[in-house]
Amino acid sequence: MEAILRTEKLCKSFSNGGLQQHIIKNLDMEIREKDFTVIMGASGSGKSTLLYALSGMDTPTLGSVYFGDKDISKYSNDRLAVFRRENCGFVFQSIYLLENMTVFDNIMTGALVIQKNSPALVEKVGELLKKVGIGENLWDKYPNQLSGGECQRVGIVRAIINDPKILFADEPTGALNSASSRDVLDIFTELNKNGQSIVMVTHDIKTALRGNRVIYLRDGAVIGEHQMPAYGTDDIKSRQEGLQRFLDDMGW
Amino acid sequence: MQKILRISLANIRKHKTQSALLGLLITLCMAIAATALAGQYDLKDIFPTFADKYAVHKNAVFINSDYFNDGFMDILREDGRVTDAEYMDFLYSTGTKYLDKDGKDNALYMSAVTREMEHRIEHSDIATSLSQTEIAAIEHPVYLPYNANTAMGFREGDSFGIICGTKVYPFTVAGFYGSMFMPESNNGFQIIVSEEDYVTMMSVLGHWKLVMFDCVDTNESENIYLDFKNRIEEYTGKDAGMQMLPFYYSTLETNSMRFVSVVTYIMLVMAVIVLIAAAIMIRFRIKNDIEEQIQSIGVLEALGYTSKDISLAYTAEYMIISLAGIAAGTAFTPLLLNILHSTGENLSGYRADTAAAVLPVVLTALAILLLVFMVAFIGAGAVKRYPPVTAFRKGIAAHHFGKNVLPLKNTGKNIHVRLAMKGFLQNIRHNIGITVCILVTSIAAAAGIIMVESFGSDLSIARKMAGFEFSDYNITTVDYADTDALAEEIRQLPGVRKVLVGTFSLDISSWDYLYAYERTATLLPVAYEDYGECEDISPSEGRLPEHANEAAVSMTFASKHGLKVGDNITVEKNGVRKNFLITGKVTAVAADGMGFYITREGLHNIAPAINCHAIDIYLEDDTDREAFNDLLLERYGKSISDTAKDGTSGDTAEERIRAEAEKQIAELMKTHGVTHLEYTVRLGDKIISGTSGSFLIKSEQNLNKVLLTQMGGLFRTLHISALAFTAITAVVVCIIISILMEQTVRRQRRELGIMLSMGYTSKELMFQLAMRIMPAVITAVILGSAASVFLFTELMKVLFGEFNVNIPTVVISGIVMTLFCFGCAYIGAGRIKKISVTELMTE
Repeated sequence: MEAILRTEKLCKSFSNGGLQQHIIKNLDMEIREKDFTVIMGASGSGKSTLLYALSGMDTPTLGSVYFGDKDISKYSNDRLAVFRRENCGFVFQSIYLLENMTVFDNIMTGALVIQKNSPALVEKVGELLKKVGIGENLWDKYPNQLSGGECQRVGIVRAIINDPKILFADEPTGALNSASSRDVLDIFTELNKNGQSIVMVTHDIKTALRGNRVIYLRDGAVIGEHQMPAYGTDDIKSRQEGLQRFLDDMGW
Repeated sequence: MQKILRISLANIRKHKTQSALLGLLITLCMAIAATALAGQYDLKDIFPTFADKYAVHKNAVFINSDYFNDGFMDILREDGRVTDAEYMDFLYSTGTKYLDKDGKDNALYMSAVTREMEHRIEHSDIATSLSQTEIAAIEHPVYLPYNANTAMGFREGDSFGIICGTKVYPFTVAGFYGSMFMPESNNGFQIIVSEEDYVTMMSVLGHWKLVMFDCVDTNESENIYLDFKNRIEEYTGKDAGMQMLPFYYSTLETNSMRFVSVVTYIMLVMAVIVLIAAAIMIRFRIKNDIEEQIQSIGVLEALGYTSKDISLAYTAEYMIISLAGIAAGTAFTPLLLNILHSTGENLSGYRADTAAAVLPVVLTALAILLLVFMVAFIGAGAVKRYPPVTAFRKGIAAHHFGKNVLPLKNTGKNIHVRLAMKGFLQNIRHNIGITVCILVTSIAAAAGIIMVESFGSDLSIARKMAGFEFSDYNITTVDYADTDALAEEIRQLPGVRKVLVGTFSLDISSWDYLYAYERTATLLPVAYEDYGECEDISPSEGRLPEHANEAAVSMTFASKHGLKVGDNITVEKNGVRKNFLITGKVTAVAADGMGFYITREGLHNIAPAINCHAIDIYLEDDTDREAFNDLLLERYGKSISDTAKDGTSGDTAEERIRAEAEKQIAELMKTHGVTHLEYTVRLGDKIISGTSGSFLIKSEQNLNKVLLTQMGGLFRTLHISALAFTAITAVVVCIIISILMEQTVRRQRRELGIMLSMGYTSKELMFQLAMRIMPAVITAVILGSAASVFLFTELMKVLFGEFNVNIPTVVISGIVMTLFCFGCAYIGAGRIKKISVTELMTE
């Protein structure tokens, strides 16, 4: 599969009270198209920092991030915003819905940044909402009137409404109960099955099982990688054992 | 107390920029208000101090020598309230032409006295940088009032010329002094000349009597004058009209403060506006701070702080900011006060050392502190609504259950405008505060712009309100001249745009009056053939007269006598009575609103003896004024008195013959009242001939220059004050919007971060944030401009009787204000750029 994202000697440091903390160190890696890539690692290993650097949400301190043949690490903040709206979708652990907007408007806010308003767009939003299990009765509700799972499903629809080339997810089930988590992961699996490239950060094995490629980070460097068949095409038990062994080897 | 202050200081440190901006507002307010109040307090003593120190007599009446009678002094002395009275001859003329320091001709009211005469009026010190030897070496020394130095820029050694006809009488400025009755260009200048030059000036300036008197109570001076005038009119049986000009103590005192008071009132209004803006900002900030820091409030309450402690912490925060602002403002006050003192001296024309008052500064500081305390304490009272548990749950402020306004599925072309409008409607209460703030500043800005425009260098407001024509040249012809024929000749001169024949001239001693209401009301006839040709006289109500039985009166006169358009007025002259139909009212503040506007035929019907001897000449824009003036005077403006006295010589025989002929003509016209003369002299083969046609102009004035000299200083001061007023308003708007934007960005960091993560650029979000306040701004600007037009018009009506605001200027200023607000908001929202997406979202 062709690489859609690639990093070269990627470094990210933060200054903390005058002290430089190097979170990502000289990282070379690539994200392949249509893969469901899962990034794992212990807390503080740099998973989320890597995700934000890959997605253009943050700029690296050193090194480069290539999207196709374009080095997005040199982009200005506004050019990165345009890059994000054209190529990326985001699902967050904290969901980050706009509190003062209804479910429907939250999605339209994401859609209209790049698309023109049309009946087809409104219809598409409705279809996607129904597809993730958000009934019409919830469309005019505000986020604080929904459950966490419902909010995350709305967040997913908002992330995919512009048909992004890559969907980035940062612990998407971190704040959900198990039933809601399963629903959300099913949506991710379904999306990937339909060709959606996904990069997901998680520290949960069950969540990681949904991916076909697991990258393990320690102290800002990739120390191992584990390949799996697409989810649902193999035996779940052996899949789980294989991943567990990999993680044990990584010192999980 | 210590714990409260600790929280307050922590808050100030946390919001350094906002606190600094708010402090700046208080600084502005303090500096402006303290300066205005202290200035008003100090400057009101400037005239009394001067009068006590220098004046010999405290009241004066200028009486035209032709009108004066020795019996007048007996009438004055008979008044028991008068303690002392004397009179002397002196020279005085309205519209005396002079050469300014740049050699350009100007005009103002001017009187001339010798040093000895001046000592009978006042004994002011002479301020000069010249030595006695240098002064002694000056051929024609002149001493001018201080105002000529401070406001008109004359220096010792400068040339100062008095113009009469084509002749210039050169003087050299030897120094400056304080004049009691004519200290500045508005009242006119009293100049001190040598005894020889005084004799020369007797053929240039008018002959008047200066009657001076003192009384027990200076507040009685006006009543004494009015009684004096009434008794003189009874005594002579003639209306005094403009033959008596009063300069009494109470008016001089009021006049000395009149213009500087306008400046201090402008400053006070500005200070109030800044204070209102600061108060609204404090209220707005406290509300937002409480909402933003609600969880911290919960923590503090859980730790045992009472809601009163927390409220006091917020109040103390703003008291500390205010104290800092007041301290900074107080530091600036002496500087501004110095400028105001100089302005006051320039505008009043008097110089006197007055002590700077401390009390107004202290009172201003206390008033600001009290207001800030009240606003902050009441605003901080909202903390009570949040007991710890509610506070931990962030109140319910962040929860939305309301109707979805402007749903995005109905978005038109621009999502950013839609989101901005949605944001505006969702924060409607918050936007009311912004609207009030911008409304107040819009009123100020529009008023500033109206003032800048009205008090511009072309004195358009004065021209509109004077009630007379401000042509390029207003000439008065000699009695024997055929004014219409001369007007026709002038009309043919190159560069002349228009010529009107009428009655009005600036020479007040030549004014002739009509009377109304059994001679109790005096009217000054202003007659033109066709008022449609007039450029500055326009009706404020109704229309100007078109027929012989029609008339228009001034707004002042109409208001005083309860006249309406359509009423009749009976006017009398020399026993002839005529009824005139009032067709309109004219804003006419000049000549005390005595202007009575009738047609030439109407004037002839009521007063056949009053001739139209005035010609208004309007020049094309590109006409060389000075060259035209020379041509006009050369052809028609030979001064009889000059030519008769001086004669002229020339290099050639022809020049000498012509000069001698003109001298002879002048002599005959002056001595024997000859009205027309022709001469022909044969010199070899050459025939030299001429007529008395070059002796047709009695006086010539440029009313614009008179107006400019009289009012220029005031208008410049008002213009500068208005510019400062507008500039300060702009600074206040900038500060308000900066505080607002910083607060909004801080409050909505999370939402803005989410939007950025979705791919909205920071520029798009800056646009949205700026657009979000625009409905409030537009509403406020419209209401503010309308209110400003209304208030300013009403104020000017009170001051001048009538005033029309230039609406297109207000509309343009409104648009500029709106764009300015947008610009400030856009730039203020730029702080989004400084924060990364992840930082914004995870705040």
